[in-house]
Amino acid sequence: MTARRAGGAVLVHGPMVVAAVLVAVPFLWLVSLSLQEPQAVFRFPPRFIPERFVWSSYPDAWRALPFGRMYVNSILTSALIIGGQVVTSCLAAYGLTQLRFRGRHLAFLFIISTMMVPIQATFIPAYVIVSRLGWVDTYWALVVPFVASGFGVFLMRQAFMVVPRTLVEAARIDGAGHWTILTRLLVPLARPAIITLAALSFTFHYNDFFWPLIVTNSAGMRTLPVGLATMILTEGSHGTQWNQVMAADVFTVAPLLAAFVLLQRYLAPTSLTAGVK
Amino acid sequence: MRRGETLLGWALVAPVLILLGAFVVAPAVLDFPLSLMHYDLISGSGRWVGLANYATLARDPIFWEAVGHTLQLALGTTVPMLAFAVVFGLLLNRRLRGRAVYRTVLFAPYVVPLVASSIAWIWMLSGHGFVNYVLGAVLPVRDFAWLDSSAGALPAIMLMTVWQFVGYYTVLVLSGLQNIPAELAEAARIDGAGEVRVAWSIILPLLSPTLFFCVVVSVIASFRVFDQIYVMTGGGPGTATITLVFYLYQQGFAFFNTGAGASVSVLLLVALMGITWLQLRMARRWVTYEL
Amino acid sequence: MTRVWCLALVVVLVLAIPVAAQAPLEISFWYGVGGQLQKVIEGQAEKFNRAHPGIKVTPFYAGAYGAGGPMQQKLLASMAAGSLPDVVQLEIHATCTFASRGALLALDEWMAKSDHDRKDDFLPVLTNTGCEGKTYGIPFNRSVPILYWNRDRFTKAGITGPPKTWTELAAIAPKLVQDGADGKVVGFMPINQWWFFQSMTWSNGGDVLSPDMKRAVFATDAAAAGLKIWVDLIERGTAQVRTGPTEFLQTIQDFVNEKTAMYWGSAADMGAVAAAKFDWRAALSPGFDGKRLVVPQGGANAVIMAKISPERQKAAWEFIQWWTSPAEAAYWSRETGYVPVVKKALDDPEFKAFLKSHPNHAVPIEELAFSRAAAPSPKYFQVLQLIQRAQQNIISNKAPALPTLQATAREVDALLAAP
Repeated sequence: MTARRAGGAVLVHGPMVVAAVLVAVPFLWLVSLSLQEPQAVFRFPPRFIPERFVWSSYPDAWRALPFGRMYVNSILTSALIIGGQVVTSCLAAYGLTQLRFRGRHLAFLFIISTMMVPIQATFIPAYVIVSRLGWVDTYWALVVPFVASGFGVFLMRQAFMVVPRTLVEAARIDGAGHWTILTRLLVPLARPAIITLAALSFTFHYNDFFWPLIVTNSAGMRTLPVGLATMILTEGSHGTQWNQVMAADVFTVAPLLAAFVLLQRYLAPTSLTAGVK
Repeated sequence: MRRGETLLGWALVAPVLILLGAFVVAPAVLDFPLSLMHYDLISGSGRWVGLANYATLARDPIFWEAVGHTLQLALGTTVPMLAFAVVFGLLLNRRLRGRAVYRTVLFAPYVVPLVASSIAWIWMLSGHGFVNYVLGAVLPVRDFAWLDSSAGALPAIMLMTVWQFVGYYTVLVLSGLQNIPAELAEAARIDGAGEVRVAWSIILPLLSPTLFFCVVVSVIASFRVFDQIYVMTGGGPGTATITLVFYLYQQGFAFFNTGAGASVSVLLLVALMGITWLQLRMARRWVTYEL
Repeated sequence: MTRVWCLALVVVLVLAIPVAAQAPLEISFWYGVGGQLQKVIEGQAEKFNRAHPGIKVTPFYAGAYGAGGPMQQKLLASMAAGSLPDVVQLEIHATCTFASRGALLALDEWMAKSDHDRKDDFLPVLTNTGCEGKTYGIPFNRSVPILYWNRDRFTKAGITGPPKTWTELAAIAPKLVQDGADGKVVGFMPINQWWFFQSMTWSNGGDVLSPDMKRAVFATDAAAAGLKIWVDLIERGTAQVRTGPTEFLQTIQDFVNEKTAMYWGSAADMGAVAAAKFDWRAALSPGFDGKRLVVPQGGANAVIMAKISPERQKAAWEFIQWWTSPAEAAYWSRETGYVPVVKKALDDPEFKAFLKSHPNHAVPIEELAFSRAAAPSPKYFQVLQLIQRAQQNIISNKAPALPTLQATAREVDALLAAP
């Protein structure tokens, strides 16, 4: 029995360890190459433990661009977007799940249909709208267009739907109004979904490249991915310093991975499937 | 009461409707008239040309290549990604030491910017990268630069995409598995069914709604693939990795054919809406079936 | 309490002084290069601002400037919204596309009145700066294809100088195949891009498009000849080729790391090649026996947007003029490897000394005399994409050269015939 169990453990852990290592490999090499000479990316076979640690690539990359300011911009705009999305999504989801009104299905269909529009197809008109509003090169332009999210409404609707109706009815009989039901009952119960939304949305907006590039016109408004792109997507540059690029990549990725490890138990998109099962 | 509820309902949904309407739907809707025009963004003038843009697409060999690549990408990412996701999901769906660690690691790539992971993968897939380092042990691939080869570039993009998203689908599958009552599998085991048989004939059928959902999400996602192509291959070598969104982007912004770009958008939107509609219909059927 | 008020008043006054004294006219300058070049550009803008108190140029990285690069997207979006930059570093092939639609300011009159930006003040770099008889762009960063060779390896193989023609190159390449520190060193590496195909086609007496730009004329033996030489060298193992998005970077790196004794690249690579730890030299691009060498130029123009106010146009022109003043043009060339655009830069004493100590930098300047403009067809990028696809098939997928070019020419004809 124990032998069989040990065999089973190998059968389970074996493939999982291999998979986990393979998934982690690009990150590990990113760190390794950021600490080697720029030429290391061209060596074969590649060397994982640096022959000589080149720590200077980090300060060099940090100095190459105003990373401090870009961090602030990236984090601030993503945080504002998340806040906005959580509020608007919860309100809409409350309306869609707890109230019965004409056109409810239509509104929902409209909302989720926005999830599949590719940004490349829409950003010129969107830019024109933002510019008519006088928002170019302001945080407004980076934030407001994303304060509503089809995905967010979809997610929160699923989360509110799985709350048993009897609970809501009981609260209502106790005299609770809409506001109380939303803020005291539904939102606390949907906390994991909210954090999932926040995390996924943070990932998405922290990572966005095209929109921030297009709506900002001053170095002070730049976000991290735009900065990262200046290091690689360039014309006739003086030879890419790959170790600095890798180091900048580590800067960009590290806060995300750290936040993810802290929040990862909420990231499981379980509620996503709740309505689909 | 009823009227009050309608008013309140719309008021609650209004912020989302207005914002999405202004910044997503209105711009997307504009693609429809634009696709029927020769519109010049530089001078800001246009004229109606009927279906001429669509006719141009139909004649453009590169458009058809883009369609082909998009379909290959949809197939080549969805199938391996879901196969892995099911295997990982089944393995992780048991009381297992270190389960959280596995899940964290598998999911981690999902949170990383595509621009950032593309940079890592440019090296991974280069002639002297890790992929060749590993494959070199069994295959004569030394110095084979995946992204530089007409035959290798698209599979390389698929590999990178599977890496980035496999954890996301694993977690989706896992949550689907957790909704399947454990007693069913237990009963089968008591009847003497082996693990593989239990997985195949008990668990998988019950998992199929989740899987179907994953397929739809993955297909939609692969229709929208852009960032990794933009950073890693620029559509090349030659035209070997041009996908529909990349083609749309080139028509609109490299070749200044706003109308042609808009007509690709329209085709994409119609295709994606079709897929979503199908999914919603089927999902509804399953829900009633369960009730 | 009063102290607080006094303090506040002082602060307000201090803040107000510079505003009242002078509000310099702020003009935005969109550029599209990163890395080292970005630092040079920002430094130069600062230098200009110090010297011109009435104008403040704000340089802004607007995304890579290449065809279809993010800068072009950003520019189109800003035009659609009417919120324009003032000066833009615009890819040379896109100049006519924008100019013919009225987006750019014609500069002929400004140039005529200038004391150092008249047409005959420039080196032969006024290619793809104009459209329909007028000039819209001032050459900003310009490069030409040049041949890089490793003198140490040449000496070892008993070869004294660089090849002047493709025949010579094909003859010496096998002798340069040597054993290197890690593995084989090949004789030659081309970069499989349309820019080089264009050069070989022109140098062999052919052309890409007909003069009226309505037909493809590259389905000829003359155009296929260069590619055939490459294929032959590659098949014999004396040459190697990188393709794909990073081919430029990789090939430069291969040369620096001594994986090849020669490569055909761009003058703009010089900064990167300078990392090489051997005696490297630049030479004119190879030509064809008995025919005149013809090369294309690459890079960008500085353009002024037409729909900005006259005083902004004036300030923008001031900036461009400063940029092309002999000393600054020379500085830019020294720092970047791009050619200095004005003749007088060659008389700049610092630049003279620089050329003396860096003779390789004289090669692209010399080669400018052999350059010509590309056809200003608005569909040129689309044509080039089809050509690039054909090149990929010929060089990497071993498709026969002439039939592939013929099939591509038919596709190009259809494209040009479409409205």
